[in-house]
Amino acid sequence: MQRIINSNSCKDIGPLKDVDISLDKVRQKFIIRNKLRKSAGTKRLGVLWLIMDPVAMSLVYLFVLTVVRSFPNFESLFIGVSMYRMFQGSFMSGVGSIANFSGGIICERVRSRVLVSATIKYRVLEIIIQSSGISVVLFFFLDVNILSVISFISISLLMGVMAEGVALNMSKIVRRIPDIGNLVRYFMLLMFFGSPVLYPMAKTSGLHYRINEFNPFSYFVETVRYVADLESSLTNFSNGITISISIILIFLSLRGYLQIDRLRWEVSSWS
Amino acid sequence: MVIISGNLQVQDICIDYIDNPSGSLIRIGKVKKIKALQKINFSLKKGDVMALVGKNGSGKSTLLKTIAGMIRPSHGNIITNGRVILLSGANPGFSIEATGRENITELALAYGVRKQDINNFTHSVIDFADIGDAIDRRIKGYSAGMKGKLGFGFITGLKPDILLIDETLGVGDEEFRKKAQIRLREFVKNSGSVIMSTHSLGLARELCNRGIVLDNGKLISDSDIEEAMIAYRGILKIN
Repeated sequence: MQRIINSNSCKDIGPLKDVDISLDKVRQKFIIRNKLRKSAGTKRLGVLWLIMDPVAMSLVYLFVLTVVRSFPNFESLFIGVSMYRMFQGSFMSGVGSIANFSGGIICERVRSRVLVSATIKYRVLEIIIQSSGISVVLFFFLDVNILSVISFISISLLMGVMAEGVALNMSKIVRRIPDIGNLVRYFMLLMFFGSPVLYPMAKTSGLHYRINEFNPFSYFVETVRYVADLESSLTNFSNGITISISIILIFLSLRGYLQIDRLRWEVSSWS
Repeated sequence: MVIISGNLQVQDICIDYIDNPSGSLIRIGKVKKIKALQKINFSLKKGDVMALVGKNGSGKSTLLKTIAGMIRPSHGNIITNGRVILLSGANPGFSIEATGRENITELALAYGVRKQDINNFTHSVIDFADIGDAIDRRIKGYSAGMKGKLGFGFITGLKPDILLIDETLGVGDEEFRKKAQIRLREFVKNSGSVIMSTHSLGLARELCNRGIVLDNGKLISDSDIEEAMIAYRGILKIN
């Protein structure tokens, strides 16, 4: 395999041989396993923590809202909190992705297509693991039908992959100006309380409602609530805004993943 | 064009590190360029074993990382044929949460060792590292020396077309260093072509047939090993 390195790129020339393709597959698995080990490996319960995290968070907020007599809808709250946790995790992972583009294979350059593929596959795996606990709660304890549970998992997957892709667009500026990373964290916290996470969007009004019409998270969570036959504003969304937000999200998300190769190359000479 | 595995061409390579100042709001957005390498040219044929010498900060590690495809040059081209492995430090990517044995098996596959060769490879690394029962403990609990032995044993078990070595013999005790030199010799013999950055002139003379000398990011000599050593001593004296 011939490789040409210059200021624009580091490219392998010519078609990949079978041995290269199978090596890339092995590397994808290695990177995914490494990421999973990093997020779960240090704890006794390992992956179980990923499953329990959204359930535990939902229970905490359920408790708080019950204490302040807000009488939350259990299903709506569980769906909102768990989807937000997945959204937040995916987004922050995208923002911080620039920290490690070696994929854990330090002595040899890993092809960017391996990194892109491993990033997306890991996101899918993590969302499936995270949503599984809540799915069990929704189906067995809150009598949500199976179709709604499947839509919850599918929409969470779509949301997670897109959120990470969109956030990848910000990773360069965050690396360059780390202060923006802090601002993003505060913004995510504000978004948690401002978005229809703990309450359905129908509970909001005026400017709050208008802002949430431009909040991509609202579309994902309200769709799941709609399918689960819960209070939802999905049908009230303007078609124009929905289509515009969808196009922007798809564009930014594709751009984020497609620029990984250029991004890793550009930041490699940053000290 | 005939492509021969193990060939390498470095053409007019310049590296500018981008220093991104932090800690000052006023300087946000401004970047400073630091010239690490300037107009480096050389080529390597299959079978060449080249010493890369120069004082600390002369750009040796930067050049090796650039050839390995890990740093973007600001100018010039590098053409490599075949797999390039950079032996820098002694950590090929160990996960501290897995045992030494698990790490060897998983990483070996990720570095392209075939499934049918995994057992032999694992035994060879374990024999070399000689860390006893610790091989089945998590790497988290290893000392720096133990990690170094395992890492060095692992990397030198691979068979790249182009091998880049960046002063890695500093790990471990005297006994290990002797063992490491023997293994390194075998590794160099098994590799297509080698560039070895070292401060050990004896080792460079013993293993290399060519040498290049860097000083302040510039290539000041590209010749056979004896001439390169003379040029290197020259800069040590002059400066």
